[in-house]
Amino acid sequence: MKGLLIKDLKLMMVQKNSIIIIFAVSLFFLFSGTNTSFGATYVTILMPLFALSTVSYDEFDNGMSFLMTLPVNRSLYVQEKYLLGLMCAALAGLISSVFLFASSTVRGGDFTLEMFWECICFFIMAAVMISITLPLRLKYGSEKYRIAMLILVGIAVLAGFIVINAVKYFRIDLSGLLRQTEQLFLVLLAVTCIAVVLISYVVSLQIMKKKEF
Amino acid sequence: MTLSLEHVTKHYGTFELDCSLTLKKGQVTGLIGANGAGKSTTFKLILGLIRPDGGNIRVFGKDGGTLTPEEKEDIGVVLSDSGFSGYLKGKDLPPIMKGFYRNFDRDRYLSLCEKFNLPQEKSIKEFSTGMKAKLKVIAALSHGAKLLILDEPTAGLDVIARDELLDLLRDYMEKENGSILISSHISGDLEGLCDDLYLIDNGKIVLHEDTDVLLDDYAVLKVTAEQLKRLDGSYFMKKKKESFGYCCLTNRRQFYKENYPDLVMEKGTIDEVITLMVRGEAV
Repeated sequence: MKGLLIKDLKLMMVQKNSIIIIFAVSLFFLFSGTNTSFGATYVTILMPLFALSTVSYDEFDNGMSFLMTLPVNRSLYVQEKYLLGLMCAALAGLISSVFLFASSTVRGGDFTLEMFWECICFFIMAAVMISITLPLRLKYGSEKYRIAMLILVGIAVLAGFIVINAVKYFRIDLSGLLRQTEQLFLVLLAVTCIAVVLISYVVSLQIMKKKEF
Repeated sequence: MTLSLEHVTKHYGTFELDCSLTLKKGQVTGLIGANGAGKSTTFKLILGLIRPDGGNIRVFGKDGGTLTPEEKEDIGVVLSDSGFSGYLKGKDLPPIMKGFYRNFDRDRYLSLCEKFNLPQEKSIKEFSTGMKAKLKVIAALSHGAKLLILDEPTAGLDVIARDELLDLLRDYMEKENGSILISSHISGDLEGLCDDLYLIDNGKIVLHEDTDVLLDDYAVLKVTAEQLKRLDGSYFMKKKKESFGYCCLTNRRQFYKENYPDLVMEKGTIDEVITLMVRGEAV
């Protein structure tokens, strides 16, 4: 695991300029006060994507064959990718919390608990995104994965459209409902997130075990 | 026994591999054959990169597919078509290797890189073919492996670099007393290194012989059609039609030398043995 993590951190450093730009954009939104939430979401969601892009670097020039001859096995490889993705999301979430705190202090506002919960929600969103992306990435490879993601985004948009119209049609006060059950909602979100990550891990493991290099 | 394959089978469309071989401790065994004969498939099966359809693979006495990461630390691997990600730099490898292998010898790795002029600041994808080949072998030799599995380790190297790398392998055998399974399409590499050789053709092992026996006892007789009729063909393994008559492969050079002193006879070389075993017709 240690060797895999060091390798992936070295591979992520290949993209260090992009990472710097992401943090710069995030800082701009956090400190300009235009959209602080966006600044925090932006970095928390995008950082794990850099972690997952290491799969492409592993696959470059048929590199997976050699990688699997090193002291790793398929389970360890999958575990490391989830760990790396979640670590990046947690680190980015933590950094954006600190930035959020700093920006609200600079602008004379208060860093409220609500802002902290927002960052937790962004982390949960990132974890779900990793859980959806990684199995697709492992299953379809770097080229077909993009098509799979496009189809998935299309389905998500369509589902969102149906839900919004259903809410309107049945005149459900969704905002009010969320306000009333805020804590329960967060707990449910966390439990769902853990379940999604676990299911995704099992699926990824099966995909890797079936693969031949 | 360091490594053994017992009727390991794998099917790819019409191609069918059925391979049996053994590698003893302290030995260097070569696997030779034409392109597409099944060498790389055999290596991938041993390394668990692909699953066999049947048969048994034992590595260090264990089922090849069940080796733990700790056990894999004892295996050094060179694959002909795969290596470390090209996006990594030479200087990235020591910390990565240290993370993978408890016995990684950083000083030896760096001194070999220096000896073979491998740049540390360049990305591996910018390395020449020869530099990539050297890097793969150096990495495989730098963590005290008990078994080296080397698929075409000298591909793309010039004569001098090839000799230097082969010296490294000889040095490894002397000092570490490990075992090597190696494939190469350059027969000279194998002649001077291997204790025994397996010839694979169309997925089947068609010959297994000690290298010394192959080089000393095998011969190619060049005969006319008339001569062929008069010869005792009991010890012919294969024959092949040529413009002048026939080339006949035998593993009893001494017999023909003593009984037919006038025959044109060449000592067996690996290249000739491969050509006649693969292209020749049964006698």
